[in-house]
Amino acid sequence: MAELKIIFEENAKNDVLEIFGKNVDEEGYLIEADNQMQRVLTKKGEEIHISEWAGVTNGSEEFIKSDAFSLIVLAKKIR
Amino acid sequence: MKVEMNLPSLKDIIGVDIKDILSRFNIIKIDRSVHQKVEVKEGGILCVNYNRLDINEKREFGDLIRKQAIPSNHTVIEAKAKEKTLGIKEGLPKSTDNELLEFYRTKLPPEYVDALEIAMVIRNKKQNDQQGVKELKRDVKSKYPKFGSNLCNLVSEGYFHTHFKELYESMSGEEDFEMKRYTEKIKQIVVSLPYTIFVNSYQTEEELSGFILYKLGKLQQYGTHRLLVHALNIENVKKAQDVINELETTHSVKVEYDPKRRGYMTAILRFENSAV
Repeated sequence: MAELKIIFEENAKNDVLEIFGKNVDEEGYLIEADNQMQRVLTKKGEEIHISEWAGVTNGSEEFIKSDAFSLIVLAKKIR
Repeated sequence: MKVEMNLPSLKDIIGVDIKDILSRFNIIKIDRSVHQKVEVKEGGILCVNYNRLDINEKREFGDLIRKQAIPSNHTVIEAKAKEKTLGIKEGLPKSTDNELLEFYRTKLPPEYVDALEIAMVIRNKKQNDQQGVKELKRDVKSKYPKFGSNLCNLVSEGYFHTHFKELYESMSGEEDFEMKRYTEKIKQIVVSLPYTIFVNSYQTEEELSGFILYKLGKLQQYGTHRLLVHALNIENVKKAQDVINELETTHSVKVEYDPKRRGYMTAILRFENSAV
């Protein structure tokens, strides 16, 4: 079961990215902080724009988007 | 509201087991609008301004999140996304909806089934969360521009719960039935929804005739020159057939059938002088 007790405000997005060793490129896509050429991908292989990034989910630090199709997967896992 | 008492020092938090922190607080919120490094707010909310932490504190807080929280099933989620997720959870398909999803899973393309699931959430939430519903619909339309909106509307009106199931019963009873024909029929109806009429039992022939002419006229104005008339069950097929036969002679309506069977029918109508 997933827990949703750790949240961040929009103003702290870059802080959370820093915690996970990520950054944002010129076009606004999430990238690896130590490799600017490597964009962060979802489990489905999609690039993530900062405006559509929802967070990081449990287990293997999976980055998730904020659209309904991504969040429904999380919704099914929470208490 | 800031609670100015028993503020923990940062070392109370850093280096402590995550389950102990979360047993003391209901929420950990990472927020740059907080003036101190940490603050406790009403409701057991611990706010951390990560940007104000020094380098060692950042490292330790980061370890708390990455090495303890994430591996123990915590998700770090943006506040609005959390609300959206909880909203979706409220509207998740229940048992009959899940049976319906399983019914369509073997009959429709995966993208249709994905959209169908979100459309069911929308249908379940419709009454009490207009803003949330709007956002979910926007997500479906954005991901599936060709059919997303139309599919949501059809689910909302109950067509996937009744009509399309009945259509399957009707089609699958035929000797030459192939699943892909049913799949293509559903896709055709969904994509063509703005220029589709569903014949129902409550319409008289006069009403149906008037509605067909009205819709054809409107569609012509907008540059669309065809109208689909979809009928299910013997009575509705007969009614539609009688009306269309009359319109062919009285109003120069041209018709093609795709297909015309005893138990169901799709007629494609246009005015004689329209472009194809």
